[in-house]
Amino acid sequence: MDMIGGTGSFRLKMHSATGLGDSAAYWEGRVALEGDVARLRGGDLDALSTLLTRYQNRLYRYLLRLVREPAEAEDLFQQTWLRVAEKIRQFDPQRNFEAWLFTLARNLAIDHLRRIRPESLDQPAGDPTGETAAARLPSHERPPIEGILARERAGRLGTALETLPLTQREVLTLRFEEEMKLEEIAEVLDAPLSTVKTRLRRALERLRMTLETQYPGESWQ
Amino acid sequence: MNGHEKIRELLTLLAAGVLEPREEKQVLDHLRTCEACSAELEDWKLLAGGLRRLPTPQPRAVVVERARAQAQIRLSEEFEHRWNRSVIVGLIVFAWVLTLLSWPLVRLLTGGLLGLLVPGFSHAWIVFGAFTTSVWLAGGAAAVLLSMQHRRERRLA
Amino acid sequence: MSRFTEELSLIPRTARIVAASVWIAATTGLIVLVKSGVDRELASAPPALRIFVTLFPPIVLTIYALLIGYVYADAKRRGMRYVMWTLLAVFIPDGIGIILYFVLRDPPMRACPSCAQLAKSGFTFCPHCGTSLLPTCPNCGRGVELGWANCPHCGTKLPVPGTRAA
Repeated sequence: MDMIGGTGSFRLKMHSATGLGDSAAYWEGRVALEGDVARLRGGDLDALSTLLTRYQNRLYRYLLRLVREPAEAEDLFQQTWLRVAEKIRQFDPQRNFEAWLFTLARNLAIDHLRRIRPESLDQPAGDPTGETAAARLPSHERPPIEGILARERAGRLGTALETLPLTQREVLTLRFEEEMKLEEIAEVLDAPLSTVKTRLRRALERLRMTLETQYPGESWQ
Repeated sequence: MNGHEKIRELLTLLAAGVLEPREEKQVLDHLRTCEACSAELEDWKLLAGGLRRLPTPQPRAVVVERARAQAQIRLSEEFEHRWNRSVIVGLIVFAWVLTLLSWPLVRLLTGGLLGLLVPGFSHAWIVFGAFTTSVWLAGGAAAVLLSMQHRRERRLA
Repeated sequence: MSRFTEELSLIPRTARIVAASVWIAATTGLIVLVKSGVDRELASAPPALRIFVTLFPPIVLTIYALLIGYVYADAKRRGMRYVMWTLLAVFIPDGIGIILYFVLRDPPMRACPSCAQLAKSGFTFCPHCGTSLLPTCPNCGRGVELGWANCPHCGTKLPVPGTRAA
């Protein structure tokens, strides 16, 4: 049921751990977003600026989780917004803008990785051997200093997260950092719900296993 | 029955907050009696919490501003194109109106003069047709020459 | 239609005055002509047609004059040779010159991010302060776009951001 013209399902299912927060604020936010997107579709430069500011940290974080190199994430960040400008006219206003934005970013990131570090991409999820992977750090260059410092700050959890294969990293970041609903994640990844659930479960299990192996018996916080 | 195993699988998903209410109830019911699973759930919750609290890496301000500027330029370019296209369509219609208008207007302005020169009604239209065609040809030739020169200039610029 | 009105406001005052005069002159001239009965066929035509002949052509001519004014002002703000384009718009008949202008016109000028002066859209560097307006190819120095793998002018492979290019 669409209360406000066309953003998608009216989400009444409040999952226990997701915490949508104050309902009123949630709907205010959605209405504002709708307005901005509509103006963007009309070519409004300020709307573009507003949306960019609103999503700048989240988008960058997502890209950084995917490519793991800040310089590359920065470049992809710029490319993503260029794509937004190019493709906004074809954007169906009924769709979820956030999911579309993250999908654009994801496609650019994957094309980029395919060109630069094809070995860092995973096998298709259906392949049973696909998910077993060694630590996937960039193999052909020294990590730049910003990368090292960022990893220090992220701590052990962040470092362990980086060793996961891409498909697992991204599902974790979308669920826990972006706090996206399952349906949104499925839309971004263009995968069925069951696949997303399985990846999520496996990702958590693997992350825990990595932490317990690397820091046996200690707290990894 | 592998009920316990299945519940263990659902524990991670519960900590992630993606279970359906039906499944959630199922798990919570089980947890009431199972200590091991409750402890396990707490571990998963800890992990989930840690993930949620990961520090957010921020993009550098210069990167954001450059992205903003370039995206805005691209956006205005896209809409320029669309606007241009509608303007050109409108102008083509206008050009046709202008062309068709010139026939009777010239005739009107020259009054009966043309009628004297050319005895028949149909002949007058032939004259006008020839006139318009030659005008289009001349204009078309000018257009081609001009665009060739323009493209050459653009390439050298 | 605010884009439309925005563009309309560009037409210089001179052009508007000329257009208004054209309208008045043409309407008057046509009224005289039609009333004088010089054209026999028109004299016997229904009054609606005679009124149409009096009112419609001046409107078209006025639009033509306004368009010429727009071409002048628009070519100027895009850094084009506006005198040449205005003359072409005037003299190439049947409005073809005007169409030509719209098809061939340059994109709008862009403001330089550091000195805020306007520069033509294809420029790679700002002509006033020299800051780079576009990313450049390391080999031939010409402007390239983000995300390209090779330079379209000289063919060199472009460096991937984040790697230390030679």
